[in-house]
Amino acid sequence: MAARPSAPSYTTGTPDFVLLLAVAGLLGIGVVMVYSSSFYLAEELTGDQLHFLKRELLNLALGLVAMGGAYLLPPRFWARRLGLLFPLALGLLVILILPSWLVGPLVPVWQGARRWLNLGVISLQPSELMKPVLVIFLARLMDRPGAHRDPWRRITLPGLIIIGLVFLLIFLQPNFSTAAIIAMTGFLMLLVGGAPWYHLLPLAALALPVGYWLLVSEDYRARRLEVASWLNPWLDPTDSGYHVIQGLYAIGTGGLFGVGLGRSRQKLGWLPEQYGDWIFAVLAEELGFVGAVTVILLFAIFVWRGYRVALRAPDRYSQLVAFGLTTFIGLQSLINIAVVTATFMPTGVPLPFITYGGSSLAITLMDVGILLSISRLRAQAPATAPEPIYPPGGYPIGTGGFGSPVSAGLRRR
Amino acid sequence: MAVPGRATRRRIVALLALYLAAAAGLTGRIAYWQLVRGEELSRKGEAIRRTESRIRAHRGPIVDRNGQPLAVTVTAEAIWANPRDVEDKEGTAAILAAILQRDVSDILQLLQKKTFHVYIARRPTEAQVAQVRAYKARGQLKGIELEPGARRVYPEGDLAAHILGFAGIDNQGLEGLELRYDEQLRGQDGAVLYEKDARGYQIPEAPRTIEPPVPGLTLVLTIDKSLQLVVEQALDRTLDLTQARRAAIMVMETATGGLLAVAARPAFDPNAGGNSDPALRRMWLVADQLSPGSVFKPVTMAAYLEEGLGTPDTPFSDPGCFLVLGEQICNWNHQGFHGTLTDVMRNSSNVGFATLGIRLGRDRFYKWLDRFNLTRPTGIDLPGEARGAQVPKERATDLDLAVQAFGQTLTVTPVQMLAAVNAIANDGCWVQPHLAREFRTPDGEVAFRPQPVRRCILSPETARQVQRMMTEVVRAGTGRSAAVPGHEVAGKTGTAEKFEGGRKVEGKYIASFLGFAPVPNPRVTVLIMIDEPQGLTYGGQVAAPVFSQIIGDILRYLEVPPTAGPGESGALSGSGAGRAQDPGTPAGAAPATVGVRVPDLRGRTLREAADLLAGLGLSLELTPGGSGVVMRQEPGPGVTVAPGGRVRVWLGSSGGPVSG
Repeated sequence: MAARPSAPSYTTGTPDFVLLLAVAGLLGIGVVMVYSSSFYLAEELTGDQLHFLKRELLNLALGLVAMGGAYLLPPRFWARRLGLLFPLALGLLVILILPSWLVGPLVPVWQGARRWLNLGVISLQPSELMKPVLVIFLARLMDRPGAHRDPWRRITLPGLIIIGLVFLLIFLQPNFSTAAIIAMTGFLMLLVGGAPWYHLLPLAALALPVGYWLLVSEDYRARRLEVASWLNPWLDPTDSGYHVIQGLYAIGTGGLFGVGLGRSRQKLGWLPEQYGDWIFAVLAEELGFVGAVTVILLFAIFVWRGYRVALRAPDRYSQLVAFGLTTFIGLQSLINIAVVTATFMPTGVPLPFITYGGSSLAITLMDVGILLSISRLRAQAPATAPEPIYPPGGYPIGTGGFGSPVSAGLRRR
Repeated sequence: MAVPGRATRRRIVALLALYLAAAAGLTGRIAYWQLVRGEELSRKGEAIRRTESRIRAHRGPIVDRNGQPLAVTVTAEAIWANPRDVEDKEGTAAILAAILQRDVSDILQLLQKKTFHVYIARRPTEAQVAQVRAYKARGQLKGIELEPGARRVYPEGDLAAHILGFAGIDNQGLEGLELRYDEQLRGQDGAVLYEKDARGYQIPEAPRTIEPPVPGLTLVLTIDKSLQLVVEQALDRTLDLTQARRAAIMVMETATGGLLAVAARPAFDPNAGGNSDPALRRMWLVADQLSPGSVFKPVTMAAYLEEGLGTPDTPFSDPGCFLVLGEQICNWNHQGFHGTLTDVMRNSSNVGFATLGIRLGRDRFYKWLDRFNLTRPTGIDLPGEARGAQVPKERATDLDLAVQAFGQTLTVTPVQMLAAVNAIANDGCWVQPHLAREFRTPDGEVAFRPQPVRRCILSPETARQVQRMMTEVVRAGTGRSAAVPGHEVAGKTGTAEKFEGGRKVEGKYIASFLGFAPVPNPRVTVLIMIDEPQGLTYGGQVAAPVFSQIIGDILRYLEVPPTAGPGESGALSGSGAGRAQDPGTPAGAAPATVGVRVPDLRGRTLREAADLLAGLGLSLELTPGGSGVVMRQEPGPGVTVAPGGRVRVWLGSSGGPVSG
């Protein structure tokens, strides 16, 4: 209907250094903790204590390059390439669920699930790639001019269809936790981006039983839920309870100041995935309550600054992208720490920036690059803003710019 | 409807608040785990990681009263493997199988276990250990390790095996004194407490505590190894001669109840531990209820005299047989006599003792059984002690009294019987038989001394009267072959019928002799039991001579001076035994003529010895009991004796130690 708006022109300011510092802090802690928690197993598995650290540093370098690239590109770049990116991400997800005789060694089976693409030198987790792509897709969807005139047909329905499709593809891997995080983030983006609450509330009410049904569709997940063993893992100390208990021993041993860097004993084979999803427990043991709170604080700063970037973004698209990417990372950090502290059912969600992990770290850093590039966008003079397109009354927030009377009062809040 | 822009802002801010609230909640959760339950979780985690490596306490040795070791703990190495480190399992198994002479497949099976520690051989020999060490020195046998361990060794082999018992591979007493005093001998294991990683290796950073082990105490026995040797050799000769099913000798220190020697045959080697035949290990001297036979009679006599019913000189007329409740009771030879109660004892008169039993009456007879501790265990420090059984008092008729009074139908354990007669020898005081003299710390300090029970049950006068009567048994009664030159000895023979399943077994007897020496003031009380001797079966024939053989050595060893010169010693008469002489002792005036040097007869057969002596104009005197070659001679080789003198020889099986 309405013509595609010409890309708004912005001036670029300085990026959000506080956000950058928080990320740098988390990455630093991550590198140290990956080494500390992995050297024992690295020694046992490969004979080289530095085995995992070396790879982590390589991933980090790769991620920093991706971050720099994403930072230098204008945020709209991704929206313009969506026609390529989205089918690509979707296609990779589809490959994962193709019958194995067709894809062969390209899709290795690991613990009954097929989550990775084996590309020879590196392995890629398509669901990780899908996260920013979906965020960009949804932001683009809600950024369309006139979308708000018919939110059901233009926002809610297409949004839900896309989210549902992605959810389903990832759910079939199976990877329930990632699928759920993607669905939740998408849902929150719809909520923030303009879908009216009376669309979403009934949907949320509907999603709960469906989600529950999907959850218990797999025996091992049903079992985890059934005995509520994540709140009191001693009720079921064998299966997943064992993992949680070993994690709690590590956390509890840490006390206020921890046993000291490198001195965790639980990581010496007692705690599984000590440098993976359970790295936070090792951190809590070695650095204590102080260290654990530091990490939580850094994530809180990250989320605060990320949402602040969204609040200050000069246009709706950037705003939603910043919100979506921040939400992804924030949600993962919450769920990971909740699982490790026996507050949420055990599920494999990595702790962003800190957990050892190849494609996840690189893509997360690329997300941060996009976030930083949004953070330095400054709208130009109000006169050049494409105000007429939007309904009067202050939408979108960011486009009010520095001169806008609406945003002037809110900006420094 | 809210303005979309405002709504977006509000919703983002609300979600931020929600995120911060969740983060705060998780912080609280972490605080709960780390600060509230931290100590508990830390302890639980430690409990999972902690492991304990035991340090075995050194098991205390068992020594005789002079400190001679009878059971010691030596370090010995065990061979174990860490299967995960064994690269060439087949090759390693083959080498080990050759060294240990075991099946290759057995060892291979051990090496294929998925573990870090498996014992290949817990008690290898020194040679096997040396071979393993040699292989390891050449860089072979990877993953096979030697572990210092302890091993219980009984340096004297089967000497005193029955009382020592043995300890198991884990330093636990399993039988005999090893079991009875396990608590004292065992000590307290120490431990190294450390934390391990999931593979079982020690975590160096974690704290390590060492609880040092407390070594076990040294058990000092009342046993005297030298006397034990004498007794065991005598027992071997006896067994050889009588071809008995089993035999035993117990020598007790009269005043204390401490056992100086306890030997039983057949024996076993405690070094073999549980691999020996359990039947051989049975300590029947305390565990078996046996019919005592006539050795019981002094108890009846003591009771009778103590009750004031008579004196040793009270006249007694014995018709040879008499009827009690319609049953005929007879002496062994159906011969009667007219004499005194001393004659009753000397002749071991069944009729006499049956009469005494009836005259004592039920109450008094059972009272005295009780006083002599025949109704309950003695409390000797050996496991598995039984007690004798009598006809129940309520049901006891005169016939029961009559028969029990000479030692039939009732049962006792040998040690009960020994302790009872020892009370007579000990001037009326019953003392508890025991083997533990004291316990010492590894530094040699006395840790504690068990206090045996002592009860005086007879007046010393009565006791001495019975002692005197018992010397008559040896001097002129059934126990004449128990006599020993130079000492006044007392004793009582016994020949008990054997009952199996309540029925008397014809031709099977337990021949026994229970005596003490010297009289007065006995130093040792000796019980000799020969179960099912072949050929000669009477206690006076087979058991009493054994007493004679050993009591001289024992008294000499205890430095008891002879009370009587050789010329006036007790009559050494009896079948086959000539009059004892001690040519080595210059008795009377030494002849002026040139003497003859006594040749070395040891190791020669009886015929050779007799021929040799005859050629020198000497005569041979054979000590009863024993067979085989000459073990011992008196006077010794090279001693000069008067022409026509006698050389006394003792026979024994060849191969044993030769003593001069």
